Amino acid sequence: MEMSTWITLGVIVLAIVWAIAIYNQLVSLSNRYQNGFAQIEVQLKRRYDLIPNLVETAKGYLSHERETLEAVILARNEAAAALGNLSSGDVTASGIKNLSGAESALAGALGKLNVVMEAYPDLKASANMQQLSEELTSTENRVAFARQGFNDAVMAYNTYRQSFPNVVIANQFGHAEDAELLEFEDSAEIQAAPNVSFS
Amino acid sequence: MDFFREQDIARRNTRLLTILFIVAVLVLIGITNVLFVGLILVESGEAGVASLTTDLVSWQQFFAVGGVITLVIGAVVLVNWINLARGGSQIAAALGGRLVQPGSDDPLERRAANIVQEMALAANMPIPSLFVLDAEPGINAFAAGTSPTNAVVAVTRGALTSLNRDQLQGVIGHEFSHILNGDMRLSIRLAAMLRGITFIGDVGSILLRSSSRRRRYSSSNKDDGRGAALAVGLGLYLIGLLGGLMAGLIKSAISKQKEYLADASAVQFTRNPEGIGDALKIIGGHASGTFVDSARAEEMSHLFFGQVKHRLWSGFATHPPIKERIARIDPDWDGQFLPAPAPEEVAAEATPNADADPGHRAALAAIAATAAVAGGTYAVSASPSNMLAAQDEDSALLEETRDPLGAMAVVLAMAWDPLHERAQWQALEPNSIAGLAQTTRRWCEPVRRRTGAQRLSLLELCLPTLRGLSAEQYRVFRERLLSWISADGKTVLGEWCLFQIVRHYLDPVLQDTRPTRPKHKTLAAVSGDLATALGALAHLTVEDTERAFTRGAEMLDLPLVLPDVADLEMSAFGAAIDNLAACYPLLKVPILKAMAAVAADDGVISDNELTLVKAIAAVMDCPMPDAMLTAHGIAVTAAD
Repeated sequence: MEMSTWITLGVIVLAIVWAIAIYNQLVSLSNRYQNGFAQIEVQLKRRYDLIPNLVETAKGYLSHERETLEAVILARNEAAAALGNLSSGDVTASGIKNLSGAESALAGALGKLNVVMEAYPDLKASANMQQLSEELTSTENRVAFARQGFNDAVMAYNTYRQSFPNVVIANQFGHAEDAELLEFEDSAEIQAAPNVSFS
Repeated sequence: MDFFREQDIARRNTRLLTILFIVAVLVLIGITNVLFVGLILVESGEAGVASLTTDLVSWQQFFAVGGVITLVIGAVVLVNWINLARGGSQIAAALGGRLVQPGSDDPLERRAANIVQEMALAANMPIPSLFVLDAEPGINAFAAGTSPTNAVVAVTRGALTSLNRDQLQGVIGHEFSHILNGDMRLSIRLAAMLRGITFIGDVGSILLRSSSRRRRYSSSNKDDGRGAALAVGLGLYLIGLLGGLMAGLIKSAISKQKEYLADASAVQFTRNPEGIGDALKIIGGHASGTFVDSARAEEMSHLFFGQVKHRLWSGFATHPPIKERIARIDPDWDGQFLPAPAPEEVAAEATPNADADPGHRAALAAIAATAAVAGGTYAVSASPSNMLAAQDEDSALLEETRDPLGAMAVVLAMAWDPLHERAQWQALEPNSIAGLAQTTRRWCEPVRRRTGAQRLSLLELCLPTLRGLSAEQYRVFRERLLSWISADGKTVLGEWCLFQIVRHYLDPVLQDTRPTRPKHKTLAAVSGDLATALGALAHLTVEDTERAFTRGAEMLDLPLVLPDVADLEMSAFGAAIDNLAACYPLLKVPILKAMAAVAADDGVISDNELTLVKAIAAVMDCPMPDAMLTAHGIAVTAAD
């Protein structure tokens, strides 16, 4: 065979090898952020389990603040439902958006509760409440950490997907959409909230 | 149960595999040439026959055909190689596996994760990630990865639901034997090479299908091109079939023996012949057997616990017949298969609170102050009452190793130094991770109360969790860990080991560095590194440093010179161990023995020294079950 034929063949083979390598990298990056989400899920579930306890404990002291407490429980249930829809292991952009919204609402409701509780020193001083607040702070930290890890993984995936020539292959083979970052609108508040109110 | 010897055999088998592979490629080239000539003959009709000896069969043409085939096979092997060498998790994902999170809710998954954990602790290796093949009802499992660093264990859903704990443990023990025997690297090469051979057949069948489809739709005036495509397709298909046959034979030749061996090792490893025996008996009577549906299962079939697809002729089977395997484990077997336990039974067994699960208990005991690890099994001889006392804290500690933030805190707590506490907390402060300092504070005291060996187990429990960090998070953590360790102005050997193990197991995953490959064939090639390593150990001894060092050097039969204390910087020690890690498996036995001898020269192996030897073994990619440590003359029981 002619030299040129060899070169053409070689180039084609290399191109295929390259394309496969890019695709594999896409798959592995996407697996990474899916796994990253599973971490958040564990922590969020733990938080959703803690919140009813918090409300239960607060109830005895805050008999006049039923609305605030109900708002917290409602927001908590909605966030848990949004998380439940995502749990199937398939992290979709719309599901993440829902969860972000529900989480922001929950953070708002919790923030309100914190403000209310400021007026009840007895409640703040109760051993049960202190232990709960400790647990919540710790869980908030873990959620924040897991969320940061997830967002890092999503960013890595998106950046890789969008760069050229990866984007050509990504669009052709089932990686046409960016993954969604998990942003809580007032994430600064959510982290600070339990600290501010109890410590 | 000599894993090092098996690792060496596995390595040699790799050589045999390469030879078989080259032969197979040559045969393929030869046959393709015959086919090519035949094709030209048919095309050119009778005129061709006359010129047969002159034009048609030339060396040039032979090499051209050979070149194309080699190029194609080479490229395919390369792609697969690159893909597979990236570690076990890639393979597991390709086969439809899902990573089981350390804190999974599903009791069945949790039970399997506990079993993996207890096996890894018994083998003194970091816990491999566990994957579940959700869509597979058959009972099967596999281990994949190129080294203990990136090893994963995967089980099918069927194995989770149809086997009880002992049986599942037998199956997972079998997979661990593959890891310890060094079979994984071989398996991965096998998969990559065989894919290269069978790929030609795939191209052929695509051509065949597309040309027969075209025949249906197009008019007949392009008959020639179609005929040629059909002929080429058919030819390639036949070659592919033949390639597949050869691939099957190679696979069968290499993997059957390994399976018997892994069965036998699993029995020794779990100390329970009934577990794996019963698992095999259930598989024999199970409707879906060990079959796996995933499209790519075929090319990976030799990785699995049992046969993936049905084979008409046993010459192609990757695994020995089930009956034969049972008979070797249980010579008195009456030939009756067992029914699988009802799913409810298995679920009920897995559901009761986590503390009742032996795997959980083993992990607990490994970190419990009172636990004594008995001669090399996962079985732990701590009495339940002993354990109950310390259990709350242990449970919490164990729970903490499953959470990324908690795992980081526990690792930091291991290097906590109350004397230089202030400097350490300061070192942790700048741009740190929210809540890390707070969580670390909580665990400093409890972790400090553990012995060195227990801390090592704790570290092994933390590593798989830390793999879930993002690259950026890991970078920050690694930086913080370093400044935390060196906050007191000096790095002691124990702290260095902690950092090395973290680095060794996490860098390849999170910083995309390649794990080291064996390259040193003789001890003489690494004599400088040996002197550094033995020297550092010798300086730890309470008695005569010179004598301890000479004893080690004598064991290795090398004229080593004891390095000066001043020259023994941590970075030099680190580089030396990295080089030793790149020795061939059989060389590592005398090296570890010499280290143990140096450590034991003063008559006792202190807890510190034992931890150090174990840590070095871990960095050298030598997971060693305790029984093996004893067998190789490395004392397991630390003197107090």
